[in-house]
Amino acid sequence: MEIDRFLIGDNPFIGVSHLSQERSRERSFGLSIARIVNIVEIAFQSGAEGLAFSTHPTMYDVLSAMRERKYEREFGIYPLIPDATAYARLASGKGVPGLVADTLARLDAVRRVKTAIRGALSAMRLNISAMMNTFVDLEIQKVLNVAPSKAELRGVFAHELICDTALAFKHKELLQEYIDHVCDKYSVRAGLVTRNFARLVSFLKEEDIDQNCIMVMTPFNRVGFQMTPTKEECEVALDQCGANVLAISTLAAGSVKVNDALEYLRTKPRLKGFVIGVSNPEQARETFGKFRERLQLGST
Amino acid sequence: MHAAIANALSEGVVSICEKDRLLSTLASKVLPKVQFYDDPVEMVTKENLDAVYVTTPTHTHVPILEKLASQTGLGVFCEKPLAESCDKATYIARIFEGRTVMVGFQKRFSSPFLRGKELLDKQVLGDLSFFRSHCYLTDVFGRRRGWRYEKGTGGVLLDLGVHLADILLWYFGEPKVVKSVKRAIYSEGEDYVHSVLRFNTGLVGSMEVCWSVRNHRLPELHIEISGKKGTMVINDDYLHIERDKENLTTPEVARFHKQAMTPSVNFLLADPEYTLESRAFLESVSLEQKCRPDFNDAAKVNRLVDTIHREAKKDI
Repeated sequence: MEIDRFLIGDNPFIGVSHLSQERSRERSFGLSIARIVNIVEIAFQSGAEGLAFSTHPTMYDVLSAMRERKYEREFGIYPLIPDATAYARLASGKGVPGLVADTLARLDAVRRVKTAIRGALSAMRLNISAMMNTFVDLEIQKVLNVAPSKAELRGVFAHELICDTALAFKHKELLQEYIDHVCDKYSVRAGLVTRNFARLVSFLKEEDIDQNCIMVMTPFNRVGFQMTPTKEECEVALDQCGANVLAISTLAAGSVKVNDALEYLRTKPRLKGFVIGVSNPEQARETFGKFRERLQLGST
Repeated sequence: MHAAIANALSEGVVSICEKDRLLSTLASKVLPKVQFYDDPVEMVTKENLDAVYVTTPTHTHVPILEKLASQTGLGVFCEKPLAESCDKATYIARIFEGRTVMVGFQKRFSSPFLRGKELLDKQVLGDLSFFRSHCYLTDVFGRRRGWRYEKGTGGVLLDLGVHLADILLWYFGEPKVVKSVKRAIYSEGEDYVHSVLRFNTGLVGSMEVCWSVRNHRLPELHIEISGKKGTMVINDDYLHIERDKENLTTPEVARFHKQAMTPSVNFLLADPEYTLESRAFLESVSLEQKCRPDFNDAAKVNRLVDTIHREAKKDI
């Protein structure tokens, strides 16, 4: 269950900037699918090995475009499920039946019927675990249906709203069920996205949850941006964490320069990987080039 | 979300009231330690609660709050807006007078807006001249059903615009509405509202609310204020201030990003202001003291909303 060290993050492609919404508009303005595909390909040429992305409609289009043009390079895919905002909007616009129909429509006919039957049976039996597993399978299948043939599923992340809500309620069973299902069925690491890293690490330890097939995606940066409750506590937790940890927000939403970010990250050898968002070809080339040069395992 | 934050910050969520049987049955399987009820009175009578969070659709707030009013020792947090109309909100504010109550106008706990209030109170811009403000979201681009979009229980002003209305009232006090226009493009309620406001101090300004604006993935609140000594821009991400310097053409400029101003929280879900809001409420409950924004503040928001609607009707 190896994971890639340098992953492309999708935030700039879907209009997310943690620094400001003005900036996210500027960055995503004029970003056509073709341009995003170009940025992704340059990032791969420059050292990226995988793509971590939410199941946002734009990312389906990006993967579809890469599939259509028969993109030949092998790379890892790490979907982050669910796209909470899209689900909320769909449910609000079309109601729950419309949401289910829309979601099933992304599957081929056979899988659509199978998934609908499994989902209906789990709901009738009020089997939460089966419902959740059906949902996870559905989300993964939607991604695999559009991914290029050389793309390989190497991990699945649960959205921070899921992970942190489960954490708030100390819901071991929910997390354990998700971890077991992803690890057993797909033989990949189950990912947890959190903005409460120190709390998560304590929880995993207290509840004796096996961390060998878990990966955690969480902010790590020199200014402590989004490191909850504090940068220092997250750094201590990193040393105690048995799961693979991937750093996000390494540039603190653009407030830290790449070289300064790298200096900090080099002092954290327990970080197994880095998820980096880039919004243009030059940035993709420069940022992944530098990350690879300075943070590749064995680099000094 | 409120339940998760409250659970992380307090001794824990002990009971939930949910009328939908299927939903409560499923939720009870996920949260086996929590007691589920379908009647709020039964819940607060049987459980020894310190506080309740009312996070139901807007038009159900008043009937639920009426039922909770007799539980005098109970702290009450209600999701925004407090009610669908000023009359109802004022009635609820009256029966909860003196109690520990809060309404979910969490923007007041967002560091740029909080810093903006501090600077305005210190009169750093001098006498205020005018302001422009908006609240935009990319959301409604087709026919929508449900209470959130219907006339009387929803519309963009009651759903989204109340956050901006609350901040303007907090900053400047209660205004007179000079002119309003609105348009229902997709919803039965309105999707676009523009109002011109005038305050007793002479300050004038505009507020525009729309959930059918493109390229605004998240709700975005933005206020630009001009005074005799400078200008300030406040939004969800930063506070930017330009103050005139004597005998100089270039102003003194400073920008404070939210990340740099926000205190650390011990649990983060969505934005830190939700945690800060809940923390302020729960601390007030434990100290049995009042907190803000309370039901009276919320009733003023409803009054402004009603006035804007009334003025907009004159346009039609």
